[in-house]
Amino acid sequence: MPVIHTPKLNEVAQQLEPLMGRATKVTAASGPNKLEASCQTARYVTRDDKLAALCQVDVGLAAALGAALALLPAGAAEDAAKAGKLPDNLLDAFSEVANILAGVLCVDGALHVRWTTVAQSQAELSADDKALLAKPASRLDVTVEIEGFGAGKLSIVTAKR
Amino acid sequence: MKILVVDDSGIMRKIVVRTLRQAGFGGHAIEEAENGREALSKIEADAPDLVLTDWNMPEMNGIELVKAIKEKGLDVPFAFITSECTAEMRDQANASGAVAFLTKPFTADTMQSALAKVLE
Repeated sequence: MPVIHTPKLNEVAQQLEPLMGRATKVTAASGPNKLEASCQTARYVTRDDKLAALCQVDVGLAAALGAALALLPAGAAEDAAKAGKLPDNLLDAFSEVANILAGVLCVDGALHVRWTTVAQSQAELSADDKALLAKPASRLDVTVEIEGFGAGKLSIVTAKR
Repeated sequence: MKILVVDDSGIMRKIVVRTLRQAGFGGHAIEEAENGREALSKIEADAPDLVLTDWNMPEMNGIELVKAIKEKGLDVPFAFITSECTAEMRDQANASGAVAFLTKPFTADTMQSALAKVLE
């Protein structure tokens, strides 16, 4: 029976580098990432709309990913990081990055998973989100550095299915 | 030639258009639609030479768009661009008659090799 795929570091790297169109280094974190309340959380669901995975990203990294994708100035990402919130244009761009990152979960033989929404702070997390974060079936913790745009933490947790 | 780019994300439409130009297809007229329904109206009004469509979209998704194109008897080549790539989706795309199936993220090189047979 298909299960939710546990993403690997190299799969995240292979997804992000061509997407950013510039040198993008993905390295393993020394332990579970501790993310600030302002982190962005992308939600992924199965075909029956059950929560399958969450991808949490520092607001600074989310801004950097969005700015690099949309070819916006690095300064726009820095301003968002300082403000602790993504403006609409960077939120749209980061949402597209989150959508494309579904590719690291959606592999042959695994349960089909798709991106749905981004929660813009820990305060927006649902009870299901919190339950998954507290007890994931798997987790991947990395740091991502995008040439010219900065670095930050990214974590992916998956549900047991 | 005319290319219709269909995606609910404005940013992704810009990226697709930018990559088409980088792939050497910038000389073609490029139009955009933000869902299958809008795309279908544009195709019925003036059929493009290629439809490049996202898979998951509100209103009418990519596979529904292709079905609607066929039901109306329109002969328009189409290709899918999607972030979720499974063997099942690829099979479905092939069965629908897609000329190409591109996975996000894509590069100018992958777009060039996938679409050259239609656009050159």
